[in-house]
Amino acid sequence: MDISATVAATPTVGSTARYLRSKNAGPFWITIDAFCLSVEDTRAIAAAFERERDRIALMFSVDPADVLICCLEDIMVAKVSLPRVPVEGSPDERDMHGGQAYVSLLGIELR
Amino acid sequence: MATTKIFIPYGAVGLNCREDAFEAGLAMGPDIISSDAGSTDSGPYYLGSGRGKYAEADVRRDLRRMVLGAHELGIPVTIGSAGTCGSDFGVDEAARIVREICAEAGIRKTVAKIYSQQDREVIKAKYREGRVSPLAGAPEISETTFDECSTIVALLGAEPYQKALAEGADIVIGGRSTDTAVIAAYPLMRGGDEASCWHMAKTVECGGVCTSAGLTGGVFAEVDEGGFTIRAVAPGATASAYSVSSHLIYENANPIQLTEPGIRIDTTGSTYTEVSDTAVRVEGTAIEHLPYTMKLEGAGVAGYQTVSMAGIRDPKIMADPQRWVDAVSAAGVEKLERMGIPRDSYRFWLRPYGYNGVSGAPVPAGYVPNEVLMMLCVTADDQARATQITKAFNPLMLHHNIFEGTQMPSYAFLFSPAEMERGATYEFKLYHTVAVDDPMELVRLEFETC
Repeated sequence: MDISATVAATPTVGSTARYLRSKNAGPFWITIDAFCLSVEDTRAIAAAFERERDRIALMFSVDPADVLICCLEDIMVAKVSLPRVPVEGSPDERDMHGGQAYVSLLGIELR
Repeated sequence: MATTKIFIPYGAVGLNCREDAFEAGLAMGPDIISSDAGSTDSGPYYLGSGRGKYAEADVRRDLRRMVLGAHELGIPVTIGSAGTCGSDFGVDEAARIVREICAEAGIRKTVAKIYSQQDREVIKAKYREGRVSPLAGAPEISETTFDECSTIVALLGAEPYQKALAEGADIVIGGRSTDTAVIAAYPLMRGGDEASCWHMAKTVECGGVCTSAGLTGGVFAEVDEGGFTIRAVAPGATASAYSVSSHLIYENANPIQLTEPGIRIDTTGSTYTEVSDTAVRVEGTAIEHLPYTMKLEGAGVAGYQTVSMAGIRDPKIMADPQRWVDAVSAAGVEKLERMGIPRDSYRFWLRPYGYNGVSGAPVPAGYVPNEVLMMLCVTADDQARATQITKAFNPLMLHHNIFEGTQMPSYAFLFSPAEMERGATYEFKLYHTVAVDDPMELVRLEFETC
């Protein structure tokens, strides 16, 4: 990522986290990990996920109450887990392993 | 008690382990070699069809090294979720390969086969008794759901492995199991701290991924009464508190707690201490005991698929690829109606890859791709119908003109024939647990000498 282009703008999840990934957590759940460079960043990203809970739920077509957000300070990871709609491998599947789901969260602003 | 030393060479049997790492792992003097072979991560095909993901030659190479390495040291082997999905077929195939390896090497072994594929009538009876419960995010089910499953498996806990080892097995081949049970079983038997055995097993279930070595580097674990130690195996590989603790979040919705048949561990109070560059000591994991349940997995046929694709780079179409997608979709549906194939008798998608095929989401304003791959996937009740429908789309995928008053265009097919039959497509139908009175109730254990 070109950092210079994002410096002036409001920091986002994508411009702040060191690395993001997503993966199925079993066929019925998906989990997204944002690896951070500091505990402060981890808290800021987890807080942004919390603030945007409804928007994240809408992106993935799930109930906001089912969005599980964890702030793992020890390993500096902010984590979002949510039910997978549709279920892994349905005839309309776009991403079998859920490996590209994290891209939806890159633009969330930290404020 | 003695410390139990476990060598986990593979992230999954069939994924390989570097030769130098495998030798290093054996040289560390393990008491057992264990590896999981299963996953649902590659989709419902494997469970639905009962078939494995990896090439037989790769599975054979990995099993041979395990069997011969363990023979050399005089130690047992445990393999879990044989054949990716852990079906009875997967167990029998792994047993056949092991039999051939033993015959070739001229060695005799007692092999235990643990079957966990389920008779749907048995599970249906459990459902009627109210002993089948949904996990969070599970689909709604009814009695007919079990009939729709071509394969149902119940995930084995540690007990069947322990029974097999206690009854003299040299090599234990398990059907579908929790990733951890196959690794935790032996140290639990030998009196290792219970929470530590499970936490260790979760840490190493992807092999060397919890160290710097990655998937093919292998990993070594030692469990005693007070905790466990993770050791990097591959020459030059390291283990850190970070690499060991952070693996717990991988493919895991809840990174703090881990529920297994009959227990739940909690890692809130776990401490990770770097003993050296290659070793991390973990202590302080908590455990609670729960009523014994086994997780159920089930998959069944969702239809038959045929796919076709065409490349396009005409700038006029690239200006709005969705317009082409919508026009071809509408023309195809209309054509099929005329052929007497109603819209509700098939499903299809047509996606512009290179535009928004992966996300299905709107693109940034002004985005124009250089070229796209238009991909069509038809799902119908049988293969012939899916292919017929895809063939009906063929002239549209090749020639459909979205601009009036111009000559007929042609697009770039990649293959002849342009259609590819994918066979049956499956879907996961169960995400439930079943309560059992005894860990062996739904399990069959058989021995053979080979």
